[in-house]
Amino acid sequence: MLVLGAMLAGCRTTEMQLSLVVPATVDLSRVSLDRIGEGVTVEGEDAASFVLLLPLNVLNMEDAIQDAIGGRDDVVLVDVVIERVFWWTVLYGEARLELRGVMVPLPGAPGVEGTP
Amino acid sequence: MRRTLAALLAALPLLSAACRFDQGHFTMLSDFPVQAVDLPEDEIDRLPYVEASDIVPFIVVLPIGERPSVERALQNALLGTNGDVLVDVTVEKEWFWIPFVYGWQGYHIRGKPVKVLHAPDRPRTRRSRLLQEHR
Repeated sequence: MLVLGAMLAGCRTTEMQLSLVVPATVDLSRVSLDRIGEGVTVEGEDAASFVLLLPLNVLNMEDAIQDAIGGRDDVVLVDVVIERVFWWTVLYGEARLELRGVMVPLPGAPGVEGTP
Repeated sequence: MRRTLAALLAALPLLSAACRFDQGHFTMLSDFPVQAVDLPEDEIDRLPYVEASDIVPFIVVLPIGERPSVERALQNALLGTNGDVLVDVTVEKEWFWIPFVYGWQGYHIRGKPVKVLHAPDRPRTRRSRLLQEHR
């Protein structure tokens, strides 16, 4: 266990930093953002683990986004940052995509909880 | 000894691995705030796709330079086009690795460049600032 602990490696890196992300579930004709920036901060993530060097599943940014917006099709995300968090001990490791952004309802959509 | 070393070096390419996997599909990605799209949707349908990558090599396991990012892949895709943002976007992660020797990884992006109306009251990000300085 001590040896494994000594071989522990980990890091956190920024994978994406964008001003506007319109999820695939949102129709382009609805993207008209007169009051951009008014919304609520949300977080989402997608996680994967791997044994030796073999991943058991693949991290996906779209899954982290859907997790953050709860599958809604009437919101966009602004000021989005996605970071990859990773640790590994040769035998086993975990990776996670962590998203943080502001969820803004599109015109005609009900407001998001916490919106002024 | 030399033969063993030569055999090991010859075997290295056999240990190499490469892959490209999906990171998601997006209606629009932008590295600066957007008010509204400037084109009717049927015109957007006729626009051609552009593609670009942001790739970073690494030696052993240490990256040479900045980590790859979706933002830079997006900026690379928009360079040389008239567009400000990408619509109908696909993002993929790709990597190649000869274990503990050399490799590269990065993001590949594909989408349609579209002009938009800018929101002037919000700070712009790196690409917009670079373009403004360039002009």
